[in-house]
Amino acid sequence: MRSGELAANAIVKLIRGEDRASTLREFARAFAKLYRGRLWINRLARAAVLAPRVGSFFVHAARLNPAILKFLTAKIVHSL
Amino acid sequence: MEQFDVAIVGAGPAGSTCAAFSAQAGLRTLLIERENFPREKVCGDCLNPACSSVLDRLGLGERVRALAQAKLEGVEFIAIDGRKVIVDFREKEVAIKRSLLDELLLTRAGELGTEIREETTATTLSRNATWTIETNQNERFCARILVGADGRNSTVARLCNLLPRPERERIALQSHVPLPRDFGPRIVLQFLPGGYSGQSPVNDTELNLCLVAKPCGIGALKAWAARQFALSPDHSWRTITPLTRAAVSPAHEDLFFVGDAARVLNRSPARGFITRCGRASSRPMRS
Repeated sequence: MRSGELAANAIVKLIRGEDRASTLREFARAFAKLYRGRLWINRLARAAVLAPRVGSFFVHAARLNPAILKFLTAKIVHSL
Repeated sequence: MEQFDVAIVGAGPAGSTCAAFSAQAGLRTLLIERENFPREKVCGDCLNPACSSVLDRLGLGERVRALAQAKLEGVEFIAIDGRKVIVDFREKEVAIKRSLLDELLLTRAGELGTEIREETTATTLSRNATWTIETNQNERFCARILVGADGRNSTVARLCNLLPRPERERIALQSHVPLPRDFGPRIVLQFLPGGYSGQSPVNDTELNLCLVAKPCGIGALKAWAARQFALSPDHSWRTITPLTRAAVSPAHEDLFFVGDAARVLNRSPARGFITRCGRASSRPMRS
């Protein structure tokens, strides 16, 4: 949803004749920021399938130190 | 031929949101959607709390809160051997079926002035001074800017020769099943020998159940799910593949990609639960 809003903001600027290059640059930067720090879930999800014991080991490690899992979960559900 | 400032292909959350804000700003906006809403989709159904500010800016806060939903308090990670770790959310997360949320967003886009075409697929794109879009309904539209919001297998990206090669290493299945008694207000991410399962209540009676595995292992996960949730052998699943391909740059000259079409995050239960830059050819690109 947020990526759609960012695109709409950029599109409005382009249609109104604002500088194309800086508008696109600004959009790309904001878009990248949207996902920064949250892509670990991709790697975990992929590892969970391709090497299920790696994903499972992650859970074991988190039992000893849950802080890391809490931090990463917060990155997913509370960022933007 | 009808002329628009912006044409958006795909009416998922990213596409409808883009359309709504574009129309709200006074742009002539077209939204093309392959399906007839409401429809379900392979997704964890969870709504990131950070989306609430976007929904408020769309004037949808109250209407979203009125939808049937589950309020979730945390996520439980379960290892293959059954050991668990529970992480509580700082604030409750909600899960809403995509059929409800996506229809509301599409409706809002229409209320704000978006021209909507459901059951319509872009079949040909060509670009000279503006984009020309031909559809399977034999309509032609013209737009200054085109937005691909049509998911990881984006037709827009494919027609523009921007769709990266997929890796068919994983397959995802999703379904809504009866909510087990005492499931609790939590998401479950369960690692299994052949993949993993994501589970989340979406209302008082239904559970979103996702399975992800290698293609050769998906049968075993379906059998596990059938035992675990007492599903019939002919239980129907929605599916999506591929789950993996390289990202598409979100910003091109007069072409944007949003949501899964840019493919920054995997379409996966784990995600749901919780530039190559170039000018498109002016020759027609056919579906």
